[in-house]
Amino acid sequence: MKFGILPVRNITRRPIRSALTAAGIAVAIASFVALTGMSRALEGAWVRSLVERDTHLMGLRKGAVEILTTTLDENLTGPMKQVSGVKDVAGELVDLVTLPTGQAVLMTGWPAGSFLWQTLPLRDGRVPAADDERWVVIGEPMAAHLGVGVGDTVSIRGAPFTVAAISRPKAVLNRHALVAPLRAMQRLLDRPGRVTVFNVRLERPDDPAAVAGARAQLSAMFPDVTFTESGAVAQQNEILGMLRAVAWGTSTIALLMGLMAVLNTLLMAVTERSREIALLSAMGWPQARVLWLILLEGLVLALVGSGVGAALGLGALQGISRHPSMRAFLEIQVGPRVIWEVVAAGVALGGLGGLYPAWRAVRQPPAEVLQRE
Amino acid sequence: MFEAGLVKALGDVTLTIGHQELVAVLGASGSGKSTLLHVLCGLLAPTSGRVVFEGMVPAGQRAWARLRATRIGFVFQSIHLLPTLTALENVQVPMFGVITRETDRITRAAGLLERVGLRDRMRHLPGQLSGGERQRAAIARSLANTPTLVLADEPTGNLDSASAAGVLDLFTELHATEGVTLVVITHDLDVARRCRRLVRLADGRLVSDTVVEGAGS
Repeated sequence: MKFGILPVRNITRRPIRSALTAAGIAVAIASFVALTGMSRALEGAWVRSLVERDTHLMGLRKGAVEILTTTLDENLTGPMKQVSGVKDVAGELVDLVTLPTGQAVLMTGWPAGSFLWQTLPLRDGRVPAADDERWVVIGEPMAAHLGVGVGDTVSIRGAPFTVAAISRPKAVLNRHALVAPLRAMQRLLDRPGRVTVFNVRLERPDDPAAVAGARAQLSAMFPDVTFTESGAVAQQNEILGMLRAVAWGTSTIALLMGLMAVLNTLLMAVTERSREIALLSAMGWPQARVLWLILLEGLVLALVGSGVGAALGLGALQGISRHPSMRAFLEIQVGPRVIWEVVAAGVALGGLGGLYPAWRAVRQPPAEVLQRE
Repeated sequence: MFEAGLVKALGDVTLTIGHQELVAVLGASGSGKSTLLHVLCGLLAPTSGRVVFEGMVPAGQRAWARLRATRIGFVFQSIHLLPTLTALENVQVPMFGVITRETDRITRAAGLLERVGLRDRMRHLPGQLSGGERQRAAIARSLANTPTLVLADEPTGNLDSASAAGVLDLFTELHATEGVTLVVITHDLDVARRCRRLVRLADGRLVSDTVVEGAGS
């Protein structure tokens, strides 16, 4: 018999209680995976969208919390292009719009001839040169959702926009976005001469010193604008930061409840088995081995619950990402980080949940327990 | 020698048990028999006095735990086999940390169970064994690490007379063949009659220590 058999047999001794405890852990881990995964999927969608557009720095109004409601002067584009190390700059006006189907999507306006258009892979149609007409390039899944093709008309905020092209970007945010010419977008939102953000392309984006240098110059020359590297833009966004905090806060509460489940189960098990534990001491088991046995029981319970919880959480995340109101904004990626976090959470739940019961188990005087016979 | 709160459970007990002796400790309930047993194996530390084991005074709980793991076997009245483990697995429990290889543990446990007449019951859980069989398995477990001393606390207390006789035969045989020192705490005069030396306790004190010629043979 291997040592590992002992905790497994002890757990299966009370199968319903153990299963319920594992279920409690599974729910805690599922909440953790789904909530933090959703927060990351939102951030990931934004970052990948910028990477796909070849934007190296993003310029936002300084101090802006909700960026869609703030604007900057479009005329800053020219002076920004003059900064050393900057290859190109394109202003962009962005807002959320509701489609005739009721789905909310991002709509963005790009200046005619800007580098942004070159990053948009088209499936059908072409990008017209006219900057002030109401036309729109629509992502493939949105076109399918609306049932429209090139030449059809889509009503946006009551104004008819002709579908000029169907795009096929990879990033989920770009795939579900509507892209219109900047002038038409400014008219639609009644924000003439204004943009929401500046997309900055650099000469040497792979050289950290060059990136830092360009960023420092831009920041010095345009004090009302905050320039952030694309990879960090989601991390530094206040709203996403709040969502992240809510996700972690809620997950922590769920994990604490899972911890209580492990603690309660093992405490009951240790109390029930006090004579057996005393017997192990009488047979010469050192305290460390008894402690390890109880801790292992907690770890096995927690890891089983974590495995089930991770599967449930990822399933829930997939379900959320397919929901019509969310599919345009979530880019789910399951990497080694999620696996490590689930394993770490499982080990923490099992270890911490088992620690006190294990300590109680080794603290009981074996002679006293055995004499209770 | 030992005080628990205001209760003096044992006092003025000086006892030397020789190698391969078969000793019965007799006394009424509350006379201090179990306390003496627990003091003998280091589960209880005396508040004054000392316990010398094979010429040494073990220093602290760790040393005693090591001795209990390697040199001292235990048999209890309530048997205490772990209910989720088979007889074969129960006998292996004391071997963790002493016998490293799993195959060696299994071989040793199987040999001991065969020795106590449970060859065909090795894969049974305690709940599937009779009281006598369970106590035999517990005796096999007490011998797991080839102890020099086996302490038995009322080993036939929960058995019917036939099973008790079988267990006593086994104890006597093991004492004769394995050469272990056997200390049996008992109320049972049948058990006492098989022992050559009888130690009597009353109110935590040693009241008699006699050698009975011809007993235990």
